[in-house]
Formats: sequence, C-alpha cells, structure tokens
Amino acid sequence: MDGHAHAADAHAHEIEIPYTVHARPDTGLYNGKLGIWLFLASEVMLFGALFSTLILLRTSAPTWPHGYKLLNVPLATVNTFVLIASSVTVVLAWAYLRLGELKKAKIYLALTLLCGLGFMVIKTIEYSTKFQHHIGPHTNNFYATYFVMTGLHGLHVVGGMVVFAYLLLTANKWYAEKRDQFTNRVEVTGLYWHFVDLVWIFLFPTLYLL
Amino acid sequence: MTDTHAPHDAAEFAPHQHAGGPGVEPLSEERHPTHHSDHDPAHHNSPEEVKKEVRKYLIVFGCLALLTAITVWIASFHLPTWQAVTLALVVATFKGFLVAAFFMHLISERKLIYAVLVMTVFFFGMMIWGPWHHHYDAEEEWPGYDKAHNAAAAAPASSHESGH
Repeated sequence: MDGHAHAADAHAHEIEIPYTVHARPDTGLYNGKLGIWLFLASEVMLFGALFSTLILLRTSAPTWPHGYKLLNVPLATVNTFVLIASSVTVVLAWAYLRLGELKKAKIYLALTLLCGLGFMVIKTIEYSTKFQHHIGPHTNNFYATYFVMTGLHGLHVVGGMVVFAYLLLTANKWYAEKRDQFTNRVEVTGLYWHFVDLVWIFLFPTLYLL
Repeated sequence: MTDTHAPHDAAEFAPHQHAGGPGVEPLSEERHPTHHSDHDPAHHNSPEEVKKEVRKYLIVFGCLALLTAITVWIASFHLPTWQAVTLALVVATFKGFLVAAFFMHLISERKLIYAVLVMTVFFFGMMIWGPWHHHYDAEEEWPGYDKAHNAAAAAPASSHESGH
C-alpha cells in the first residue's frame, strides 16, 4: 500500500506541464511563445501610453525644446548600435542552439549580456551628467518624459540581462536535460529583447533627434 | 524553431545529448520526421536552412546600422519640425519593420499571433491618434486658446512666483 502510494507520489512529481516545448494543436504554438506575445502586447500598450503622453504634452506646449540641444546624441547613437548588435547576437545564439552548437550559442548569449551591460553603462553616464547639473524629471515636461521613458526602457534592459544571465548560468545542465525547452526559452527571451530594441528604435529619434 | 514537431517521448531529451561540441547533432529534420507538418513553415532546423537564416540576420543588421546612420544624418540638417518628425518616424518605422519581421519572425508567424497583434495595433493607434485629435478640437472650439497659452508662457516668471 505504502509502496504504491510512494510510487504514485513519485510519478505525480514526474508529470510535466504540457506544451512547454511542443505546439498545442489548437494554437499551433508552444505556451511560452503565446505567453510572451501576449506579454509583449501589454508592453506595447504600456509604452504606447507614454508615447501618447509625450505627443499630448508636446503638441499642447507653446514651446518644446529640441532634444539634440539638451541630450547627448553621440552617446545615444552608440547605444542604438549596441542594442541593434545585441539583437543580432541573441538570434545567432538561438540559431546555433538549433544547430546543436552550445558553445557558440553561449558565446553569443554572453555577448548579448555584454551589450546590455554596455547600454546601461552609457545610460548611466548620460543620467549622471544630468544629475550633476541638477537636472531631473522635476526640471520640466521634456525631462520628465525623457527620464520616465528612458528609465522604464532601461529597467526592461536590466530585466532582459537578468534572464540572459540565468540562461547562461544554467545552460549546460538545461541543454543536456531538456535541449528543446532550453532552445525555446532562448527564443522567447530573444523575442522580448527584440521588443526592447524596437522601443529604443522609436525612443531614439523621438527624444534625442527632434 | 522547435515547436514544429509532434510530441515525442522523453527519451529524446535523454542526457546522451552532451552540451555543445562536434558530437552533438543539430535538431535535424531526420530526428523530427513530422517537421514538414503545418505547425510552423517558417523555421527549419537543417544546417543549410539555419545558415541561410544567419546570413539573413547579418544582412538585416547591416540595414539597421545603415538606417541608424541615415537617421542621425537627416537630423543634422535640423529640418522644420513636421518634416523632421515625418522623416524620423518613416525611417524608425522601417527599422521597426525589419526587427519585427526578421528578428521576431513576424513575416511568417502563426495566425493567432497576428490576431493578438491586430488588436494591439488598433488600440495603440487609438492612443496615439487621441492626443492629436484632442489638441485640434481644442483649437477649433476655443480659437484664442493658443494665443492665451503663449501669452501665459511668455509672462515673467516673477508674476507667477510673487505669491511664494
């Protein structure tokens, strides 16, 4: 009796959540992928609300400063290249996982993490320069939108970096045990990371160049 | 893409799949004979297909870098606001298309994802359209609104702060 109970208990622990790797027949997607797209849809609305706010403030204001006169365009341009490069490295990591080359995939994941770190270092330099001049979100509506939008974007970059660090640290074990699942996790994390890149592609000209 | 094959048993994930190294075979179509099912026509795991994708990603990267340089170059002319906004947004939208279409594979994705995104784009459009609409309505309804607003903004700061 006890033996049966233990066996049943052990078996219960082995039951896996379905569709973490394979596609559901009705959606044609594994759950992680549908989940990340639903999350990204909510993220579009979050950043959309901030862009909407920026438009309302800017079109209603009698005067509005040009971003290129107040912000550091060269640093932001470098950051744009860094983020675009990181989008490439993450798709390359996913591609190499599909080719069965974990070492190369890990190198590209590490490069993605480094790009994220580089982006945040540059952003920190930008912020600290402003703070040294006693400029902050309280200064005016332009800086309020600048700090809120780039700050929220920066938090998203940090969030992505945490996930990439986790993927890197657990890569060997996870890949050996559940290779397909790990490959899919890299894919959905990549989708999130591309979205972060996409937001910056619009933030850069909107805040810095106009 | 690894969601493209029918469920197979746990033996497929056995620890014989060592991490990395030349001994590890790719997620090949031979290992997943149902790969050509209608699950996801966008992604194949044969080495040739993946290498093609890698080349595509590098080309997209080159285009994005070039477009970023063009964006900064255009901005250096300091065009009138509406021209600058239009040009910047056109280039940014094209860059966004490249990222979404190729890096996020939206160019060949499942219908359900398109359905989610159509709704998202509709509501996003409403949020962006709203502020402009509101502003222009205000101008029509109160013709002196902008003039009064400008006058208030041009007033000496001391008159606002005199009470403090």
